[in-house]
Amino acid sequence: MTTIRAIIADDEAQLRHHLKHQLIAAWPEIDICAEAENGRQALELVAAHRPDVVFLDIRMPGLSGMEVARRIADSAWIVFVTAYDQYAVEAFEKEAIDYLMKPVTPERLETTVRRLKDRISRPPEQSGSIQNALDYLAAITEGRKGTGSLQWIRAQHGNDIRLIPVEDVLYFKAQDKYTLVITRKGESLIRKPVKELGLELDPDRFWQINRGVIINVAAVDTVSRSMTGRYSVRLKDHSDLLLVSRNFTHLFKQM
Amino acid sequence: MGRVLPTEFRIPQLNLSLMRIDRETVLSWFAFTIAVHLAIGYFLHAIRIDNLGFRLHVISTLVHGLFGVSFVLAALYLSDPKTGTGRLAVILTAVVSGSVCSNILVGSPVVKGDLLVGIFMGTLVRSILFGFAFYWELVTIAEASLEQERIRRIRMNKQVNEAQLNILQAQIEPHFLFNTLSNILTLFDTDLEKGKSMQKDLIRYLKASFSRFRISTSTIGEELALVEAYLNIFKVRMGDRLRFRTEVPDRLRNAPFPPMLLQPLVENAIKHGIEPKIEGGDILIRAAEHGGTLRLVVSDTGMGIGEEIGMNTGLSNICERLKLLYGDRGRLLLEENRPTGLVATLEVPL
Repeated sequence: MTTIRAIIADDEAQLRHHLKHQLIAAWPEIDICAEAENGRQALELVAAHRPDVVFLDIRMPGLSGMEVARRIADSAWIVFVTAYDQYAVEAFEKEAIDYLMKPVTPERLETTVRRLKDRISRPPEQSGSIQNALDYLAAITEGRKGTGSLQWIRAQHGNDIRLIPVEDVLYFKAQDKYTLVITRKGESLIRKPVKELGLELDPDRFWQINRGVIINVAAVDTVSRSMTGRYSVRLKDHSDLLLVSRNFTHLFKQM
Repeated sequence: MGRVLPTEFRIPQLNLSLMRIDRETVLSWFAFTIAVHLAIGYFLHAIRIDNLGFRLHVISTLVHGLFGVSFVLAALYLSDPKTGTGRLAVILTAVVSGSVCSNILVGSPVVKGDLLVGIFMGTLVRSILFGFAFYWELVTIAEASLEQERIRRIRMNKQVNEAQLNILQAQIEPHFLFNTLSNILTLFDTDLEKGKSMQKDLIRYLKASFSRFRISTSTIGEELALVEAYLNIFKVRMGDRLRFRTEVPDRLRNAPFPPMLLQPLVENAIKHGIEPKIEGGDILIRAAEHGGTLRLVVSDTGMGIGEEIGMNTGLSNICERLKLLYGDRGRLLLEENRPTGLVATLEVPL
């Protein structure tokens, strides 16, 4: 009977320990040759020990279980271990990839062991489906990231770095390559250009009124229209008069 | 228009004899009227009655003045004391433009009784109109502020509900719960005492979080107990990777403090600061009072201000709640820790 070499990667020591004991009980031929407590270590240990199976926790510091899987899927069978991750579980179900939910029960572990025994007699061929599942997950995570808008501006304040909540900002103004952030309490310079900010800020709360200026709609005091039909905006607690360029006047037409 | 008007009048109030009524005189009276009205309008604006009040006043002044001047001119041209022609014009002048413009006509041979009736009627009508306008404005202002207050309350309720929901979701977040339960199960096999104490912490934590739904005020001590239970759980799970300390003077423990403000900061420090960092880090919670302001500081030595923090809605929810609870007197300050990590400072009036 050949021994099966396995690595467990989980950042929580108790859980590694528990899984190890459960595995030894369920599968006497298994040899846990190493344990990793973060993603990077998992990669190194997999390279050093060339295991048959890797049990990967999904949320780990350094590299996530997903990222580790991407890189080692050709060389070992992978079983994901997760406390709860609805999207991941959906993706694994779809691509028939094995996963264990924490707390791991002996019954469920037995099923996994049976499947692994069956597969191990064949060379690893799951890499394709793992890549599919990971691509699917990456797409979902990206999609979720894309819906959020910028809430904090990272700004240098003397020697300190501070986060300014966007609702405190009166307006943003382009200045050369940088952007001036004007709040009630003062001004600070940030590296992110106005063009990029325009894409990241919530379009309902922040309006670009000309090429170099984005205003906080909540900070608008008055909007006035000159004889020639040009609009200008005055902000609360601030003396600057900001001109609305013709391309952006539609924002004020309905007001 | 350049010609001199044919009639000469005596203006009794100023006791100027035989003042010539020409265009310049009429216009200067007109200018005077406008100046007085503008001054009143500006005064209303300055004492911040309303912007609208100022605008209404300017418009009514211009209308008054224009009508007044044209009626004065018309009256001067048309009046004929013998036949009584132009009496209507004189009365209308008095009604519309008020006593200032009508003064020009005082002493004119046109029947005096009509003028007095006109002035009286004019004053009465304008008083009534002004009274209505003023009342209407006051009502509008009062309604607007009532409406704003109502909106503020609704928003605040919504915020609190959302925050409660978020907290509930975070506290019984399946990932947190199942990971913690897995740990407890393991410890029951390997270290029973540790397992029991972790279970107690979980119960304490869950109990406290559920009771947060029924209370609107808490104390610093209670909030700290909740946070300590939470940190104890992570201490067991993360081992040496997490170290934490609290420095809160005993006299501040009974100070009132809103629930669900401190916990999200600590959770943020764990989730985005310490947990993703391979070598882990420290969390320090400090409280201090200075000049009626309470300062709660949660500092960590974790990952610090990364790119993704810009989108952090949990922290901006705290800002939003502070604003609703305390207006400008409460704030959340986020700064980079040295050499790494985040310092979150909550400032609220005590």
